[in-house]
Amino acid sequence: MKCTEAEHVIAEMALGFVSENKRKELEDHLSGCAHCRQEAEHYSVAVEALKAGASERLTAGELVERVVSSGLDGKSGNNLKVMKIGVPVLAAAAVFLAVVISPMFFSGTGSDMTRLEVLEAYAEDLEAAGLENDYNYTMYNAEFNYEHYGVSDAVSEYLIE
Amino acid sequence: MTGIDRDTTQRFHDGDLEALEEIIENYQGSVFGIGLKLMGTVEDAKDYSQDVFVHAYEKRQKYDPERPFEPWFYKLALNLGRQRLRKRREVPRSESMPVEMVEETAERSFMQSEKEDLVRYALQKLKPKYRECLALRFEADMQLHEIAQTLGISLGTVKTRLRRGLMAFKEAYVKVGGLNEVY
Repeated sequence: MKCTEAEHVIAEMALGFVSENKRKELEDHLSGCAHCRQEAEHYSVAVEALKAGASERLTAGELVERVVSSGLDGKSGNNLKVMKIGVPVLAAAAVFLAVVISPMFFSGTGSDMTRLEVLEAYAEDLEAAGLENDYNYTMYNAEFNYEHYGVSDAVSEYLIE
Repeated sequence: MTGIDRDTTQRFHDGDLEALEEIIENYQGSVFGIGLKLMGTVEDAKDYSQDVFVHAYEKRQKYDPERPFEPWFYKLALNLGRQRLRKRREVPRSESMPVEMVEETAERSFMQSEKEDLVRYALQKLKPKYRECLALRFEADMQLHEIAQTLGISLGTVKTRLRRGLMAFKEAYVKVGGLNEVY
C-alpha cells in the first residue's frame, strides 16, 4: 500500500466505514511508515474535533420561544395562507380601483381638468420641448462636440446609431 | 439518529404546536450543530435553527406521516442551509477570519471555545456539499444510507464526499493551527 492510498484508508477508518481487509493492509503499512502514523493521529484529532460539537448551544426552551414568537401560533397556518393569497389579491384590487377611480381625480371637485385634458397638456409639453417628432440626430451631432472627447467626427454617427 | 414516535409526527403534520415543541426539543441540538457547521457563526446558527423549525412547520402538509420523519426534515434543513449560503455568496467575504468570529474568540477565553472556532473556521474552507455530509454524519449522527437517502445521492457518493470532506477539513484544520491545541 502506498502512502496516497493509505491516507484514503486512514480517512475512511476515521469515518468508520473501512473494510476489514483494508484495515489490515493499513496496519501493515503504518507499522513501517512514520509519516502515515502521524497522519493517522492528525485524522483522529480532526474527527474528535468534528464530533465535539459546540459548547454553546441553543436551549430547547429558547428555541421554542424564538419559533413561537416568530409568528407561529394556533392560527399561523391559516395566517400564512391568508398572507400568500391575500396580498396578491389586495394588490390586484388596488390596481383595479386606481384605474376605475382615477377619473375622479381629474373630473371631480378636486381638479378642473379632465383626464383627457391632462394627457393633452403632456402632449403639448412634449411638442414644446421639441421631442415630439422633430428630434433628429443631425441636430444632436451638431450640438455635441465628439472631437472634444477624442472621437473622430467620421465615426460619431455610428456611435449615435 | 434520534427519533420521535409516529404519534408526534402525525400531530405535527396536523398542526399541533405541542408536537412542534417535542420536535424542537429532539432536534434542536443537531439542527444547531448543522447550522454551525454550515454557517460558521453562533448567531447565524441560531437564526438558521429558528428558520428551520418555522419552515418545517409551514411545510408540514408536504410531509407524509407514513414515511420516516428524519430524511424529510433534514432535507428541508439542508435546502434552507443552501439557500442561506447562496444568499451569503452574493456578499463578498474576505479570506480572513470573519469579524464576528474574531470578536467571539476575543470574548471567550476558554480553550474549548477557541478550538470550536477553529473547527468552524476550517469547515468554512470546504465546499458546502462536503460540509453537508460531515454535518449529517457528526451532528445528525446519521448512518451512510440515511445520508444517501436524505441527500438523494448514492451510497458511493456519500462515502466519497465524506472521505474528501474529512481530508479537506484535516488540511484546513492543520493550517489554522487546530493541532497546536493538542501538540
